[in-house]
Amino acid sequence: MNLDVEYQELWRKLLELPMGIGRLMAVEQIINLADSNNDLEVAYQMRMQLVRLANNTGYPDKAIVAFSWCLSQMDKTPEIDRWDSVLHEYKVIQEWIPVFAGVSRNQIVKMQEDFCQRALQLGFSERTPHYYRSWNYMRMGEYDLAHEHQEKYLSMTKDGLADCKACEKDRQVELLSRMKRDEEALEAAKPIMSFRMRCGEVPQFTYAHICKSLIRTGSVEKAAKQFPAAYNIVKKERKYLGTIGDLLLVLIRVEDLDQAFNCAKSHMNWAAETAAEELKFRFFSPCALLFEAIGKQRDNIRLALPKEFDCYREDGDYSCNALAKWFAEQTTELAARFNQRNGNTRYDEMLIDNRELAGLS
Amino acid sequence: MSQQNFQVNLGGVIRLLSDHLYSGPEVYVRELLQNAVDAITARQLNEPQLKGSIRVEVSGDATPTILVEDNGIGLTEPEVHQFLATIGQSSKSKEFSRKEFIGQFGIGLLSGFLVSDEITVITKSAKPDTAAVEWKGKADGTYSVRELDTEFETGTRVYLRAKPGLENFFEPQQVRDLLSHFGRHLPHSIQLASESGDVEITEPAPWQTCPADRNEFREATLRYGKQVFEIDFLDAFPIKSEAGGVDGVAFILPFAASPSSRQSHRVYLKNMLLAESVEGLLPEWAFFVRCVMNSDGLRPNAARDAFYDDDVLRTTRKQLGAGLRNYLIGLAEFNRARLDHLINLHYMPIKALAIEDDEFLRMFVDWLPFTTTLGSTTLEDYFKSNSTLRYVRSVDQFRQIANVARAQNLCIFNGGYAYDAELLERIGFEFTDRKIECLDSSDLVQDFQDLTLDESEQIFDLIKLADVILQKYKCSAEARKFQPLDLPTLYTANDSAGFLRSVEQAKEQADDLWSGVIQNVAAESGKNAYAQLVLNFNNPLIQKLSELENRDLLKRVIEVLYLQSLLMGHYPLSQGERGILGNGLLELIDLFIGESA
Repeated sequence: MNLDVEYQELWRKLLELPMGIGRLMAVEQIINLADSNNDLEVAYQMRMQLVRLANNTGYPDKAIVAFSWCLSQMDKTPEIDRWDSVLHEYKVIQEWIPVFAGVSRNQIVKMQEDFCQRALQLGFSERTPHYYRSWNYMRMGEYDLAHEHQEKYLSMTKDGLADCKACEKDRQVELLSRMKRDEEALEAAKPIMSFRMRCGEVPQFTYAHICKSLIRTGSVEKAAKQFPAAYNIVKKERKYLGTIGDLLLVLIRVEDLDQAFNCAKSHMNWAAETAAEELKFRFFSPCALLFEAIGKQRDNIRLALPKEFDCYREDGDYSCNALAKWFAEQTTELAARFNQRNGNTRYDEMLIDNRELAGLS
Repeated sequence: MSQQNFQVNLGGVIRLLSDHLYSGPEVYVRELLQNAVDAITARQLNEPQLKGSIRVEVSGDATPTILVEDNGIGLTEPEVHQFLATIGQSSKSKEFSRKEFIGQFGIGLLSGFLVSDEITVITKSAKPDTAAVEWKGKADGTYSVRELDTEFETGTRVYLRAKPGLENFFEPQQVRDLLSHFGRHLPHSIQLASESGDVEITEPAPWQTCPADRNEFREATLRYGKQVFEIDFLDAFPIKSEAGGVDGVAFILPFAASPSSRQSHRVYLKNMLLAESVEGLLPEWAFFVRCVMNSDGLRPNAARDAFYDDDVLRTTRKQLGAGLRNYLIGLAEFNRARLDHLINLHYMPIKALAIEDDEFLRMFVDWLPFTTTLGSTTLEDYFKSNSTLRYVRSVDQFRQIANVARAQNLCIFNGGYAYDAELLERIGFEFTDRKIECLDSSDLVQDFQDLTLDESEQIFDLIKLADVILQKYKCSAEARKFQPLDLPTLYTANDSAGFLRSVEQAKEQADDLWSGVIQNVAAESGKNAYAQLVLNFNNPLIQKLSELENRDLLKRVIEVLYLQSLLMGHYPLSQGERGILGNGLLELIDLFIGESA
């Protein structure tokens, strides 16, 4: 088959597919074809498509690998794309990097500086690099350092590289909530929750932060009321797996275990398939608490768990306590890896927080 | 501190409406019809027997004029001051809870200024002892009101004179088309009077009729669908939702629709056309359905092209989805041929629904088509002669094994297409009597014939050498007997191994920082990576190789066979692999020529 015809055929098929792994695989097929034919331009363009698609659909490992290839090509053949559009993808990639426990702190810091250098070379200010430093340090549990960089970027004028207002506000709310400055977090979230600030990912991410702050400030009912709207807008996208985990805590807290169970079981496959360990941690920790809570009411439960889980049983009959134990072990193991990478004990603290939020302390 | 009122520039407001709120000048017809219908509705609250009537008259050549007259409730002089002269003040505002009215925002009459510089309204209230009133408003924001001595029937007449350049919106045929477009299903008579005579505009919609029998209704509705959408639909059926007060008809598209395509519907609000392409009324999976429907209870936005996404709309969507589901279940029972046709066209959304709805899954799963290494099949056919179903999760894996599996007459399902893997997993869980197994392409090797002890002995050295050589490619070697005979080797790898290949490719290009990062990112995904080169013991070339003693030549041949297997499996080669393949071939040619010379 003629190469162009083959591209077109694959492209047509790709457009027919819904967003998600199917479309992602179709893009990978085109990349394979382009690579096989040494077609650098198509290989680059389709990898950039893969980066965007994988970012949006929650396959960060694929996005990072494809982006790395694209960045290398840009360094060698700058005329293949525009640097500013590459930097915009670089921003999203930076957000994902710390969710992999295997990436060292040193690598994260070096990547921040690589991004900063490239931004400065293109004439942008250091505001956005500070913004991502703040994000990365927050993810690594260094809240004071994150706050320091937040102050820096907030004192600077926005430029064309900056994130949208809604995203910036969401990050500020998250940091406040993580620092347990809950009243301030709820106050900061007001422009988002009153629909004045929105974007493609906000308030999706924000709901989880404010629910935690609401519970801690004693507004458990308010947090529970947020759940339907929050879950409705995150339930179809893998990238919100961590947010879904956070929201599960609300259901466990109000003892709506039926809904929590149904919600948790719908996303087990995502948890099995995701390479992003932080998302897995944030989902597994509430699952452990959920099965612990269910275990107080019944001994066994029937559930189709993914075969990838070590605890998988073909008959689908599980002891609730055994499940709680398995999820807790997975969570503890992940926490240890993150703590080791970050050089602190923040993930252990998160486990204690989650238990308190779920009302199981 | 004194309180001041804002000054409103009417010209600016009209520009705002025309540029940002209304789709075009033609909406003046809709807005005037809407006011007329609401006026009649208001009067009918006191006079339930009143037969509503709207009369539209087009006249004049050089500067055409249009008159829209209704026999509604009319306005008194104070009401004229209050409602016609204040933007945003609707006579229906106070009765907002009364859901009978179409308009709500108090801006409808302003739309007249889109096509006319002056609006004249003559109105006579239904209240006793009131005189008719004339209101003249101009686009510059000035207006005058006077009481008329003449007797008028209760109701309202609105006169518009065409703005220069917009006369086409007053042409009788254009007015007729617009009246029909917006108001053909209104519950009151609309008469259009022009030089060519009087025409009745309104006609009942399919959901407003009481058909004698189902087939007749279907035929008439399909004709209606063809007229509205210019599509010969596959089927039509009524839909209804108590939430949102929705009645309408749904049509099944006669062609495969893309799941990512937006499904939009022609929607009437209290029988007045709201918009021709309203989205979000049906569940996402119903993208193979187009509807014409009327709602009495959903809330339109100010631009009148969509509904607010509130709880009522969400419940409506759910109920309409349930109706569609019942229709499909009904087809399964009463019209299997039509269902097969429908499934053939729209199996994608049906699969999407089956994943979410266990009952639906049980109902349809046997009839859905799947691709296998032995062609397309349904589960109904497959399980007639098999008890275990095996599938691979990705198209790449399917492509790797398709030819070989076919040659062994093995039926392996392709789970790589949208929804298929998820669906097969659900089936495995829901139907305990059906065994469903997910394979890696490498698992297929287990089905290949084992070697005898003697044969294992014969090929031992070759396999041992291949294992060492392929180690750098993170690939192991094994020997089996399989079809087709002319295939010397088969490369199989699971998805993780495929991903690791892309990591290696990226590392080849990357600097130290990125190379280290992607190595660490992939560490977790790569834990389960598994790749294998299977040598076909029955293949003559492999037989010869097992007897060859020249280790250098063997090394080169094994590498070339490995890389050739990658190419056969549609894996792109990295730069390093291309180099090895090129050099390997050249060396083999050199060797061949050397021996021949």
